[in-house]
Amino acid sequence: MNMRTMACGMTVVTLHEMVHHETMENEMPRVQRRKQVLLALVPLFSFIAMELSDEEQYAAFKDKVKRTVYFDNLTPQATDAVMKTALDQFGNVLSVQFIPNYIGPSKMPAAALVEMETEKQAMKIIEETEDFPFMISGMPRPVRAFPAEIEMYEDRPRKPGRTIQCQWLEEKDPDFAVAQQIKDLVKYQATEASFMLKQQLAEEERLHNKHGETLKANAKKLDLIEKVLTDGSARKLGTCYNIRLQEN
Amino acid sequence: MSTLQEKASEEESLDFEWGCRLGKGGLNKDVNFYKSFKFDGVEYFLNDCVYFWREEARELDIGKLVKMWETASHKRKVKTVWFLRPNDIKQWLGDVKPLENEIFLASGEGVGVSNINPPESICGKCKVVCTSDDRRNMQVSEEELNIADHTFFRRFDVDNYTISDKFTDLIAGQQVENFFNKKIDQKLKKLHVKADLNQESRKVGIPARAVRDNDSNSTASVMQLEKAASLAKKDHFIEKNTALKPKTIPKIVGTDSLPAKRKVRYLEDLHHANESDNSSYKKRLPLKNAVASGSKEDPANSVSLLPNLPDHMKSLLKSKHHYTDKRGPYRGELNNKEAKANLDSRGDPSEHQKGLRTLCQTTEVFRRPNVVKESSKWFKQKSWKERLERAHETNCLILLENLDPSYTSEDVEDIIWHAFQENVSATMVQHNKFCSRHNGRALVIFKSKDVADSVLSELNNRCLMLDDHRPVVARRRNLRHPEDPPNFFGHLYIDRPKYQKQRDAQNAVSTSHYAQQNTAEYELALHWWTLQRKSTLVWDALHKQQAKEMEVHVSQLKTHNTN
Repeated sequence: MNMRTMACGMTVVTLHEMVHHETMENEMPRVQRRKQVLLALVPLFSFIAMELSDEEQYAAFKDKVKRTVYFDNLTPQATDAVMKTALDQFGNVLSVQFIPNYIGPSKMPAAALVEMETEKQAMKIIEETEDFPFMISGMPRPVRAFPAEIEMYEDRPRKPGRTIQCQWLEEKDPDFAVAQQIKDLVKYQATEASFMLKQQLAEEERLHNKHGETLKANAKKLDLIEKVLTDGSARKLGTCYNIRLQEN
Repeated sequence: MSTLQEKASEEESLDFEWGCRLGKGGLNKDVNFYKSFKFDGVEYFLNDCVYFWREEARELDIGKLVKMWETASHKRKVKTVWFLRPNDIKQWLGDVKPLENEIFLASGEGVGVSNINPPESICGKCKVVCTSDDRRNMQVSEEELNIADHTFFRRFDVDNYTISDKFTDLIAGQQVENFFNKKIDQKLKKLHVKADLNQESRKVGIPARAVRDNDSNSTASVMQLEKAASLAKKDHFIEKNTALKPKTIPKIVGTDSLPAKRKVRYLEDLHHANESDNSSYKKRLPLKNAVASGSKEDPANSVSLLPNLPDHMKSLLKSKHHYTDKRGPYRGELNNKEAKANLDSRGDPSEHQKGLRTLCQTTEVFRRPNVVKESSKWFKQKSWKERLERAHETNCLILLENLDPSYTSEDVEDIIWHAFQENVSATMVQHNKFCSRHNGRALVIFKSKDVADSVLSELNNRCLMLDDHRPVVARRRNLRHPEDPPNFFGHLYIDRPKYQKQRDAQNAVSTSHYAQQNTAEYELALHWWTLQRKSTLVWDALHKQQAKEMEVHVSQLKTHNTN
């Protein structure tokens, strides 16, 4: 009897516990659900906030620019993957973006913007390529690295708060003549620049050819030596001049 | 949030009623398909063409209802195949000159052909007539053409962005016949003509447009009515029709008490929308209200921008902007007026001097109206490279120089919009280390060669001054020939297999590495290095010198000095 009541008591307790537990369980999800709802709202608000402040967006972009390294003297055969593997040793490469060359001469080497994870990594790349010739996807022309600039991006955001003024000048305007001169100057300077680029490319071509010649000559020399060593004429000559050649 | 949405939909359901049911469908047979529905007092049938209201769009979208159903969760849906306005596909129009009121049927597979929308975003019927000479298409009479809001005879393929006047058998899974004018209409019409003949004298007195605006009649019956009227009084019809046109609109204003009510309703809607900002329901715009308010106001401003639209559409658009644009006055408008004034006065030399003072006032370049860009987002853009090449071939490409290098591509688009009212796409030429830091350049694609020519001569003969001291220089510029093999100096390859094998063993040919000092490549690399350093110095010197020259010139500008 006693035992039975004990057992009954036990069951009552466990039942009670269970009920209690159940209500707890019921309670929990509700709280959780509320939290989830709130959490779901958070990104929404932050998204709105993101949309609202141009300043923040611009600041984020500027940070990105700081993390980014500009490379040029690249071969056109360099791809995203090539750049990534080449620069993995310095840190995590976040993105690679090639600067398109729409109007430049086709001999122009390629250029790219490589975004690293931190500004420090970017700085390190720039410093090291300054000290050692770094080659990507071919030899012997090394690449150049510089800090990236805002103007190198196509998708740069609008500078917050900037306004653009514009006005049509008429012929009677005292500034008209000066403005026309400036226009001519712009054209003239563009011609200057393109001439300079041509000169530079010509110089590069010259160096390239020169190197090619040197390399060919060197290869020929090496060939000759190898041939002499393999066909026994070296040994013959050695005995002729009384020089003892080491066999390897 | 969700409760608000439900509330909104409950309220909306008050004036929504399904019509004839077609059958059940869906996976669990729990979707009901219908043939028609009544919404806001207007009955819409399958294959009706309707206007859709879309947030931030300047013009109403036009679509054909091809399916309508209610899901198991009582959500109402309509499937719409779109007609595209020339503005929507501006970039791909090329030399195609759209006719007045012409729209293009979307076709192909992909974004922009059809959508599923809530019927609540419909804001009225419209009459679209097909003028294609396809044999499957029933030709329509002159009168019908006159009353049509829009016509189409070409389609726009969203796959390859081309326009064609050949119609395939299926468009968005629908028989193409559904898009053409129906033959049945013709038979029906004949019957109705007989029936209506004795009533025709009475009916002609009622303006056709008013009947149409009454909305309870389907478009088909309007056509019949028109036909009847025209048969009876053929010679008078055109005169009357044209004479009635302006009269009918005020009539609605005067007699119909609906607009006022609707206005209230609309404000309510707006209120709700603000509360539940993410409501998936689009706010709609009552057609009649628009007509009424549009006719009251002076339709001068934005309407003048849209010369190709029918009158009631213009007023519609105007009033739409009036009610929905929360961002304040339409800035583009003001700019246009100013700029137009500039352009006009230029033509007249006598006024020229008088206007000189005002002409020289600097104006601020505002953003282009958002909508213009919005429409171009309808389809995925081709890559810039392809677009540039195409523009270059068709002589639509211009290079602008002497811009502020910090401008963005959108800034340039805004400037062109401001100065010429031309919608263009522009891209700033991305700088590299050989570019001058003082000279920003941009490639601009115009919609046609003529526009590009006129802008070019305009910019060369006159002078557009930016930010006080930067006259814009415009030129045609050859693109780098795409077929030019990009050759590169500085990488040497030896085609001797033995040697290469040796190098490969060292695994050094194609990987990136620092040159070690004991190698041949190090010495060669040093030569390159010298060349590069030299080039850096030379470019720096050149840019410095150019900047100095420019400064000298700029300092001669009077306005610049006074500021």
